[in-house]
Amino acid sequence: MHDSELSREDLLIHRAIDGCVGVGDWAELELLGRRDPAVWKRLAIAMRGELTLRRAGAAIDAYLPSLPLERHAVGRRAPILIGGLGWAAALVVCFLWLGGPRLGLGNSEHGNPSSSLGAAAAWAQYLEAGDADGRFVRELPPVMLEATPSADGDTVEVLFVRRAIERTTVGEIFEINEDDAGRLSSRPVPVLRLVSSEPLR
Amino acid sequence: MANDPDRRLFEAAARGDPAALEALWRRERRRVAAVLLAHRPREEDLEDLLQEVGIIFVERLREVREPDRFRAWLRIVALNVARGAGRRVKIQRDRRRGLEAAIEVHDPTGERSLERSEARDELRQVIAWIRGLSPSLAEPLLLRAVWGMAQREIAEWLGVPETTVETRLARARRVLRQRIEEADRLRRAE
Repeated sequence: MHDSELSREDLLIHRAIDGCVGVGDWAELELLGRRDPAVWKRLAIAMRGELTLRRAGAAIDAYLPSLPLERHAVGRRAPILIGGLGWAAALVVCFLWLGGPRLGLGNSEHGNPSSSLGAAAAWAQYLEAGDADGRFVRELPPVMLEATPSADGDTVEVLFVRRAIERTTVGEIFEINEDDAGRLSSRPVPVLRLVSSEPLR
Repeated sequence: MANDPDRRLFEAAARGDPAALEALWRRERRRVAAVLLAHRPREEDLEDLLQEVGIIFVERLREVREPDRFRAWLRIVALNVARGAGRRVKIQRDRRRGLEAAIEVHDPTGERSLERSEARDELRQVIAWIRGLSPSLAEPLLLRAVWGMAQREIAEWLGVPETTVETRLARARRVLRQRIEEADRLRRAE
């Protein structure tokens, strides 16, 4: 990266292409250009880059609307499982990320304001949708992580994990490895039949 | 969030009104995208990270007590998601779901053929440029050059003086200009 001091020319070129150039700035830029005509070439190149950036905005904008908020509210991903269940859980994550359809309600991209649902209702709707398309197998009892009494002692806040067995079809299964330097890599695992060594109860 | 309509929108969203949540998210997502694009590690897809920010936005917006603190809160959420992504397991995923899909699908010219492929190349080029910049330069550049946000707004969003934004933009544009010059030199040499 270029950390050297910003020159007056850099600042004036920035102002020229940003549209915030003042009368004095133009005069100064013209003076610089008379001394060194390459200034105009540098200005032209900067404008070329700017034009490319502006065009990119339309492309990125076209991409942003494909992120329905409803899906955010319901379609939680599974990375939090990695720590607790070891590589088998990591494989589950591979399923979801590599081959499987994304978690979420089938047609949520087009309306269906499920963000208005309570979490329990949204979860039930999610399981129902998964049941309908064959993704959902069955729900396991939740696992409690922590229970904390409130200050007045009337209630208890409970942190727990919901568990659902799901089915998906993927092209490949990957094993994740970490080398001594902490670099992560993945490699395809040949599969005849693979069963988690930590069966879910 | 100085004016009343903005405040009302925020308050409705914080109460969980789905239409307000959607409207507020649509209004703010470019800022979030700029943070993620500027800070995300290369292996992460923008879509995944936007979803993650979106989940937190929906679930925790009501915890933001002061509407004036909303954008600062949202930026911190986006920053944490981007930085957290660097600590997570990285797996090569289906690239069709990522920003590359936008490159393939989007057609700013409305035509196929050469023009379309040029537009794709330009977008790829921009993404490469952004990835080569430090986050502190990339974020304001995205907000200003890509989405036309005013320097004053960017300064508020970043929590820095407007003069700092101008300096960062000038630096970012100089780096990009030097990259283009270098690429031109290499092309001529071939």
